Amino acid sequence: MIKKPGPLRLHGSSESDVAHLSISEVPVTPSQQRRHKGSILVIGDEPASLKLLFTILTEDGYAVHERKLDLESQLRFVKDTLPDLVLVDVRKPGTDGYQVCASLKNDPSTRSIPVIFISPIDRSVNQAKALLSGAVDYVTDPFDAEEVLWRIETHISLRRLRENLKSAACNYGAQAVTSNEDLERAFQEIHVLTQVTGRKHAEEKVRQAARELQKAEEALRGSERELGFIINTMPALVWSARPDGSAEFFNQHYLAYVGLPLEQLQGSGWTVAVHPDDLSAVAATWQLTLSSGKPGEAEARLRRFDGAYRWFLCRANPVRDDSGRIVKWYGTNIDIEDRKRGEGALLARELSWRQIVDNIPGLVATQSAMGQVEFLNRQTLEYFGKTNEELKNWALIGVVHPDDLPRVIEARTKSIETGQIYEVEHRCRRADGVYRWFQVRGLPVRDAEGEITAWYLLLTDIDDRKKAEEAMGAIVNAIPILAWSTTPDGSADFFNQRWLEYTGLPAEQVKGWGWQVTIHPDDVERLVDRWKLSVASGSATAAGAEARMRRFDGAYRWFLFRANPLRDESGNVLKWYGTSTDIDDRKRAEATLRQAYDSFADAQRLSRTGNFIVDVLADDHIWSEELYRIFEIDPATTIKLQIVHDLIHPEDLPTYDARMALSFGGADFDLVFRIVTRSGKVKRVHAAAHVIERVAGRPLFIGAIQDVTESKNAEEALNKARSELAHVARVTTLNALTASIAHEVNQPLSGILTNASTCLRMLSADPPNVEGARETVRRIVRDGNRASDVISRLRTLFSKKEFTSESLDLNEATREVIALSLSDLQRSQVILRSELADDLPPVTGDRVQLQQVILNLVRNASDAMTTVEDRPRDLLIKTERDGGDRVRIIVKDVGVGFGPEAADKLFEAFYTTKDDGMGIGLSVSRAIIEAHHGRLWAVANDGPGATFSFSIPCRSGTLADSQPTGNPVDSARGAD
Amino acid sequence: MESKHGESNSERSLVSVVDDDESIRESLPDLLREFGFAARAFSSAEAFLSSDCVDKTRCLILDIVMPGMTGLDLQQELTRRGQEVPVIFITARKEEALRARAFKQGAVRFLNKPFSDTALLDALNAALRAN
Repeated sequence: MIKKPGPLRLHGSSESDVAHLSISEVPVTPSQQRRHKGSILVIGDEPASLKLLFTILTEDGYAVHERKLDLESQLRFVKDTLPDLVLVDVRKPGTDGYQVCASLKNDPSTRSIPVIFISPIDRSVNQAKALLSGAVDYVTDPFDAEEVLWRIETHISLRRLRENLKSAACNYGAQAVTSNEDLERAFQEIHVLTQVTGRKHAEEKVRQAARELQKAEEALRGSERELGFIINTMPALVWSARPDGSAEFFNQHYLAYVGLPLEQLQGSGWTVAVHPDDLSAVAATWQLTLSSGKPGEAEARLRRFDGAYRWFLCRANPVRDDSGRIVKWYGTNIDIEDRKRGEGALLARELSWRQIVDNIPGLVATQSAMGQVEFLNRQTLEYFGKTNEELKNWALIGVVHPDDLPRVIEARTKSIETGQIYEVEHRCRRADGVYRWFQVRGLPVRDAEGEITAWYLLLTDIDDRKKAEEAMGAIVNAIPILAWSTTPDGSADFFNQRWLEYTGLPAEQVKGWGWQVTIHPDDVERLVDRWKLSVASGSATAAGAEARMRRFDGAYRWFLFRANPLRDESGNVLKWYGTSTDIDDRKRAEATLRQAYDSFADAQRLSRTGNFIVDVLADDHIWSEELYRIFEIDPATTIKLQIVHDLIHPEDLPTYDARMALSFGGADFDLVFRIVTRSGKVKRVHAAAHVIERVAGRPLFIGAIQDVTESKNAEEALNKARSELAHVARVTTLNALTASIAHEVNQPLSGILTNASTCLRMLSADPPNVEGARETVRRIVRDGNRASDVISRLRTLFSKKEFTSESLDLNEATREVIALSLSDLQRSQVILRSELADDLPPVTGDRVQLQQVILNLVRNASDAMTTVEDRPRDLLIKTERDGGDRVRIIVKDVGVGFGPEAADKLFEAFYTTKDDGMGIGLSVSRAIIEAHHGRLWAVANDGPGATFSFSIPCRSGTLADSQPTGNPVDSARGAD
Repeated sequence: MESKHGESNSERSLVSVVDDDESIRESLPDLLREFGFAARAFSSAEAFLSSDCVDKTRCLILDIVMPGMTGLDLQQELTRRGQEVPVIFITARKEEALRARAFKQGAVRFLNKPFSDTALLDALNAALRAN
């Protein structure tokens, strides 16, 4: 705004320019101009801010003084120095500038010194007060330096003119003649005096007066010349008018500007050059000024000689005589076109800005630095249905919802104090009384020094969003899930009601990163790291993280944490929304399931049972761990039917294949078969399976396989143990029996022996004791019978079972015996071969007794081979027809056999070749066979071993006759 | 030897037989008397202990297996009473355990039934020598 002033322009320096004024020409040089510029006193508290002005004035040739003393010293200084002009800075409120001015005006010695006020534009001078106190002019800061200089120069010039006129009038003898009117009045007075005081005296007086008048005229002429020069050199359009307002003088500039002669402008002729649109306003102001008798001003466009209009600031000041009467009006018109254009542009801009602001779909307000409402756009006024004035008291008239008001006031106060952006969401009452939610944002406007000069506020209707949020909030708080949100940096800014209820903590405590206190110490680090990673990468944690979260009662429960970012159009994360789902039950179920699975796996391992599911068509297999272990297959292997097939023992394969084919047809699969693992181990497995589902023709084959190798072995071991036990029992029984028999037989034998010895001694005595001997022999007979009875009882013991007779298949009976003895034979490593005749006729007999005989023969054969190591322990059981009506069974071993001398004794009771045998078996067997009218015999083989055979008739119709009621031992003895 | 035992009845040494088997109780005393001993037979250990022969008996022929008190029990009882008598055990059972236990208890001889007259006489001589 402040322009560096150029060299002062010297207008009207040519003779023709001043000719119109009829003022004698005075040559003036720039140097003279500078020397006579005059002195200026500046009074003010902040001269520093006027430093530039000082510089300008000084450079322009003024002697500038400044005083910031008290009022009295200021006045004294003015009196002492009598400056040409006083500048009073009234920029500070409460300054005594007005008082200074008034004091100067009250003192005749200083009254004529023009006083100009200076004030900042935003705290403009109280114009009326300034002019009332006597100031001639005022300028606002910032100012146009050139304009200020002109004004100062003008006022100094005017004052000088006035002073000159005054002094000229004084010199002329008149009292304070300052105008032609005054002069005329003086003449009139002189005339009256002349009439009163006599002619001569009057004439003298007149002459004197005429002389003085002449002098005055001369002085005046001189002054006028000077004045004319000054006026014509002034850059402004200058004019004067009579007290009634009729114009009488226009300076050279004026005439040159409007391009009209003086005569045409005088009176009210000047109005022709005023723009028609401004004329009425100017005329009205002029009349107002005239009637008020006070300085006045108006802005109007004046037509230039070329027809162009330019804006002028027109000012008029009255000149009064000592009695205070207005004697003349002096005026200056200053070209303000440039400024006006700037203003116009500004105005246009302002207008267009207002139009924009009034039409944007938002509520806009401006406030002063202190928060005073200044401007409200049309939308705002319409929304509230209030006037700008009413809304200045917005806090009092209920436009803000009562619930929000304290918060709003607090926030507003705080932002004004701190200068920080103001942002509050609150409800505003619409003209119809409905409250709607608004987001109100206020931005401070700062000047170059950073001082806040205003606030711009934008009120955005967010009611729909808020309602949606509330609805969402209600939902979020109602859903049975813990929900939360965070700012883009991951700092939590919201937790739903459930979350707060669960943790039992207030939102303030857990916001930001405070929620960490709720996470289990063992989990918190992992969770926070994971979350920070998500935030940093901006990727959703859709997979989720699991951690334990503390409930209000201190219990921890497992939660699944998930978060998703909300992004703007360019992909920046605006917010994170997250949920924490209680998965504690699931977690427990998982643990239970895992435990159950472990137990199941344990059970499978312990029972050596594996299970499988096979999608038969897809050849897709699911195997349990144990099943892999049983088959000794790496669990990483993809199982195919072929793989299993390849492991089946070749001998069991046909059966396996056949059963599999059946089971795929729907039959249950239940088979014990052998597999040969890759390590060569043979395992016996028991598989049970069936097809459980046929969806879209896809059978699922589900089942279990148990490794029964061990149990088979165990079974064998058990059988062996049982067999050994049986043997032990048999041996024990036989031992006991032997002891018992021995005791029973030895007693009579002992008696017989003793009696026989006694008998011999009695007979050999001299004389022989015949009677005693007889007695002893009698006892011997008795004891002999007694021993015989013992044997008889023994026989009866072995053949005491009730004899039953039935028709039976000896082959079948033999097979049963083989089946019974098989495990014993296997254990004894006996290789059993059976040759059972197909055409064997049925026999009649006691099935159990005959089977006992066969069993006895088989056991004897097996026992006979226990010491055989150099050859296979072959055992042959053979059945065949013996002639037309007999059946024969042959049991042949390769055992120790028997010598020729033993052949006769074999079937005697108590004969045995075995260490632990008693020799009863064969004798009893023979008794049984003979009871069946058969024959039992033994033959030594050509090679090692022996062959025992028995032969019985197919139909022993007389079986009852041979019921062992008699003494079977006797018949046994009869046999070979 | 034979004459020495058979000369006078009053001087004959008493051999007591304890056996539950009647044929032994009938035959053995006769043979002992043929040898020149005085002989008494008892059917049980209890019967022997309650008789007046316990002190007079110079040799005891004891069956091991008997109902009630066994022969071994009887010998222990006599030892306990301080009435040690040479004992010849006789048994119809061939049990080594019995035999070992009998010798351990101080049996003079252990005879399996049936036994010969010479074996018995040899045992009696051994018993009386020990006495």
